[in-house]
Amino acid sequence: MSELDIVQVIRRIRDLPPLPSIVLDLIASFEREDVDVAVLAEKISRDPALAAKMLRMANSSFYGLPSKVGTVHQAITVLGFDSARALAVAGSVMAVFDGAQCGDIDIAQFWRHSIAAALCARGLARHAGLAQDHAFLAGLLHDVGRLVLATGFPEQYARVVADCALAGTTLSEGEMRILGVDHQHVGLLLAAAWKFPLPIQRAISQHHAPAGLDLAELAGLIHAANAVVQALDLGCGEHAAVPRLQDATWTRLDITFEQLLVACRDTEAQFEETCQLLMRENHHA
Amino acid sequence: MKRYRIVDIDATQEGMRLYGDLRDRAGNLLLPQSTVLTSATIDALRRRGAEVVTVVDDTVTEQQLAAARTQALDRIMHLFRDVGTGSANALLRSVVEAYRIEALA
Repeated sequence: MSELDIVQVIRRIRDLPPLPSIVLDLIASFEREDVDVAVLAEKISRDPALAAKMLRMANSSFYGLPSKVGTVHQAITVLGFDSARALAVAGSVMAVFDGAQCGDIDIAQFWRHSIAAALCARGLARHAGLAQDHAFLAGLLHDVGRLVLATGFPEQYARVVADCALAGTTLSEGEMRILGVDHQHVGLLLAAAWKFPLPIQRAISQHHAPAGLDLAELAGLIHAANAVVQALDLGCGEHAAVPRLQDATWTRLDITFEQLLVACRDTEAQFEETCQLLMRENHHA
Repeated sequence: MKRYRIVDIDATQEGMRLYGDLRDRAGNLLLPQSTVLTSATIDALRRRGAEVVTVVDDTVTEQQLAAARTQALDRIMHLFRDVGTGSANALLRSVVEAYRIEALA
């Protein structure tokens, strides 16, 4: 018998700390052609926490310039608007779960795996001709449903983890067996509630088994990126295991051996610094 | 175990050998792989704003590298333990093996 019904999950999502309105504005701007960058920069400037975060990102050595960036406008110029927006949304979404109790899930390790997937997805997106900032966020959020479940229902989720260890099954199978809902579906509900673009929602809900047209879209990309970072052992812990990939993955995404090699290099090269950048703020919050 | 080490520009010394191509943040090539650093090239790098340089670690022995390669391949075998025989996983595995071996060559 299932331990959760969907109404409890929806209530849990509704009870999460809200995203700041400027972050919801940034998410809404993903699907608008006529984005007024100056207006959004002005709004970000009026949110001290978000403005500080953006300045820190622009001043990190990864993007760094000889002179320090002192305003949000300059930060957006340095990072590029798409990248600045993705990083700002990423940091804000992560902050929603800051300080949450989540039983058996190691929240820092969870985000490290998610950040690795985000970086890898962004790298693969460049080769596959997909939007890199969408890929980054879809990678970051692909497992966020797991965090919703583990923080909202820690006792039940501890039973899922224990059951999987005993039965040797995947967490998704354990979630369905014990809770009656899996993290892909819960992640979809959260992404829909925050009004992320549909391709990102679809990537979150289909990343374990994309099929058909999804294979050449963000869902296929995240399916691949998740496997790549498991293969690279990035943020996956001692129980890491590469998942089975759909065989059409690379051909549909049109990614070659050499491009995959570059994505491995770039992901590892950026990994620790991006973790520091996105996770340090949340540790101090 | 790594074949290289990352050295602060102020700690670089003449005779150190670049592990890979050295590029600026815009991706422009400053010095190619295997360049042996001289006081002139170190000064030039400092002027170009380089903060760290990745150089070959000459203290690592061939035996240590061989052991590290074996360990890396064993770990990959373990990580790919449940993937079956699909072609996509096979390609990913060959890429990751090449990537790990390249860093320990």
